[in-house]
Amino acid sequence: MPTDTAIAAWLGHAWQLSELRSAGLVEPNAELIQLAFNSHYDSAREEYIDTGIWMILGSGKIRVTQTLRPLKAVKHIKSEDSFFAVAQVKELCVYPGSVNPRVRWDGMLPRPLEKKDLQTVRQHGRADFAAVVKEIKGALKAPLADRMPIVALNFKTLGTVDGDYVIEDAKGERLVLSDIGMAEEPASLAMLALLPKSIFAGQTLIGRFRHDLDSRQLRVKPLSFVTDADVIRLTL
Amino acid sequence: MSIAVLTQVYTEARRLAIAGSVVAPGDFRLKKLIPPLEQAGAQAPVFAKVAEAAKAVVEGSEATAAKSLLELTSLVNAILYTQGETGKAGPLEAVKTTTMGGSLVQTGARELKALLEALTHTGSGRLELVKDAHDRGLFRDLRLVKPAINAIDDPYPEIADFVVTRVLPMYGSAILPELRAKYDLKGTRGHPRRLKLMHALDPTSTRELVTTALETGSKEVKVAAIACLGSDPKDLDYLVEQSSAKAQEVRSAALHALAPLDQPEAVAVLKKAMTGKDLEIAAYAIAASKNPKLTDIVAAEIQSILAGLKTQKDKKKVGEAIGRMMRLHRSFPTSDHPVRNALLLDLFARRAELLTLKGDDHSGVDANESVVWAMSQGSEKVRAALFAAHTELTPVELGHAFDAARKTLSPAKLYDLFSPYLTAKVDEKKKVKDAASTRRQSIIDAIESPVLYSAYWHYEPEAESREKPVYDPRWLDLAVELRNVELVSALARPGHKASLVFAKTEFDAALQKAKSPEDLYSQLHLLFDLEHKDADDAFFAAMAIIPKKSKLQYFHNFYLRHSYPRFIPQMDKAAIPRLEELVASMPEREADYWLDAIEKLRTK
Repeated sequence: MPTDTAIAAWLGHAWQLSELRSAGLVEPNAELIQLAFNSHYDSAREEYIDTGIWMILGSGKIRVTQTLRPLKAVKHIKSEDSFFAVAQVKELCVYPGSVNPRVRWDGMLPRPLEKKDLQTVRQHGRADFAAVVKEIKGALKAPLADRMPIVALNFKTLGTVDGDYVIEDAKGERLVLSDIGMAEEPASLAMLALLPKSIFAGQTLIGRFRHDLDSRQLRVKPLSFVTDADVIRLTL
Repeated sequence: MSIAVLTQVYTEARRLAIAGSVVAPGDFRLKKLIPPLEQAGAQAPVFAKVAEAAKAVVEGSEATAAKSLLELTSLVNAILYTQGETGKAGPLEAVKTTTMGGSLVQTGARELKALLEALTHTGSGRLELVKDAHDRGLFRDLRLVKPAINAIDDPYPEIADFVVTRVLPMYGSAILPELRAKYDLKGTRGHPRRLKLMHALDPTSTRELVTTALETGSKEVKVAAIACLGSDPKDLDYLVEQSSAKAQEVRSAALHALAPLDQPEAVAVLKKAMTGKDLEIAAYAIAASKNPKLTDIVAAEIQSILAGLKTQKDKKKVGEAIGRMMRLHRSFPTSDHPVRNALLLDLFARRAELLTLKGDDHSGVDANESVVWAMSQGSEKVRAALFAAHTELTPVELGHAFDAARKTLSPAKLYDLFSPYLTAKVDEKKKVKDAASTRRQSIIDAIESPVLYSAYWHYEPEAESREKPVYDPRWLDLAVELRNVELVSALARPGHKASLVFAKTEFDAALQKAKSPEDLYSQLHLLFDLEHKDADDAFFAAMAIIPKKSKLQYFHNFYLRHSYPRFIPQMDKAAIPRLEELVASMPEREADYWLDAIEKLRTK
């Protein structure tokens, strides 16, 4: 069974933790910080999907957790909630996948979030947008790739160009922010105008990329900002 | 140019995929794109590859079409995914931000979802959720700003008014652009609220909107605009003119705007309104203004009515005059003012004289009760005069005197003064006619409900948030002796031995007769108030009763959603498996309320 794409899960294979372990898809002693969380109802599949977006503090890789709660079983499956501490996981099982594979764990020990953890997240943020875009495009061209990868981006400035929100890196490379086509999480752009001014320079943005084939534009949806003191979540 | 061809190939391949690969061979629209692709391929080999793949589709057979079409689609998609535009040229401008000030709050998604549902759906219990969230500062979460703004249009006016007066002002001018964008001066419902809120947030920049609304706004928006006037001296003449408008809403708005002003013209208008058919709206305006300078005109009007009553024999007119006087007692702009204090003490001293008044709708007894109520809300000196005369009061007045004493005396002194009413010998068979019994009930009611109000006396919403009164411990012993479940519950102290025994006995007795869990609610409440060790078991025993069909819907709506889940966080964590078992048998909507409560128990 392939372990570099999520195709097995798409075809209906429900991975068991024991299978992931025997395939060697395990990271020992991982510490994770949740950067965003959302819960939405998929009317076609008739199930709630609780998605957590996490960063592994050691490697800076962004991973997702997913709790699927079919409508029929919703009373028996506890819904997930935002997590504001750091999760210490002895054995992190990673599902097959490419940019942001799904992860799961059996047991976790929470510890309080400290400022140095936020500093670590910010250090893992990508400051060279051209290199990020190249990697994202490279990943997206694979037919089985995750269509909306998530990346931590360290921007120099967040401003507007002709009314569109844009982030710019130190080399002047820009990425346009947008909510279009990413309806799983509620729209987040409208909140930017209410943020303190300090957010608009030198911060880390957790963004979801999406390529619109019709308009041929690669856009980024802001999910949260990581500052020295806080994770400011824009979605739920 | 080449990318444009590629985009066309993508469109055609998608069309063929939808139509079915069997129709792809020989497709002339795809065929037409092959030469330009080959031409581009001379410079960039990838286009030659696309040309080959397109040829394989067009020139292939039905048997190979599916495979060829899939290859073409995959190839074109892969190329297009590498061609996405990212940046945007042009000068980068700073974000026009209007910060909310203060620190931001981040709330858990589960709690946010419940609050969002309360702000965006209909149904009972929403206002309590919104108020609770406001008290806990949750509205400083960015994700709630827009839903809170949208709640201005909530169909339940209490929620809309609450967000406009309590929630949205804390965002300051940050929300002005959004308010302006949605504001419609011809609109109704939410739009008058929008205008008032914009004016409260920034009176200067909203002045023009107010002026326009006065000229061309809908009736509701115009009324809101009038309420925004008063800060500019030029407004006075207009407001005086509008105070005699035909529409009552307009007159009311004008009086509200005039009440805070000290100019003689404004005071004269209010004085005139008080004496005529606009008493009700003038009274509201004066009370809301909190302008102490209006105390004199209210007191003078009461004195004038009293003087007129001396010679009035017509019962209808006597009743009306007393009604007006009662209304005026509720319109004082401040509760502690020398003029008001003197008036109340004078009227209290003359209560025997007032008692002789006989009217159709209202009589002397009503006049006296209104004075007593006003005294219970008055200064310390006035309150002291009231409860000092407790033995001379009617049962209703006694309740107000108890309230006045509770605000003034130490717990021990309150007990010494009023506990004899609970220990007095009563005739249990003639409860309604027995004076000792009705007086005892007045004190019990006053203890059970710290918020005293009635159809006559106005209700104080602020009183709900007051701290629970501290009572002398001896009250609880008395309450147990009286075997009154609600009274023991109101005075409950965890661990009080006599109460624990009483509570369990009462519950067991009620369980024998109960036809629905709601019949056990008071007894269960008492067990939890006392932190009784058997409270959890009692809870499950109550839930085991299945109500009759006729009561089922009400039970589901109210008790299952609101009342019973409130006990859950007070339970022992060992009860969680039994609770989950119960939830599994519930309808989904009710289950949600319980799951939240169970989560609170789990994390307490």
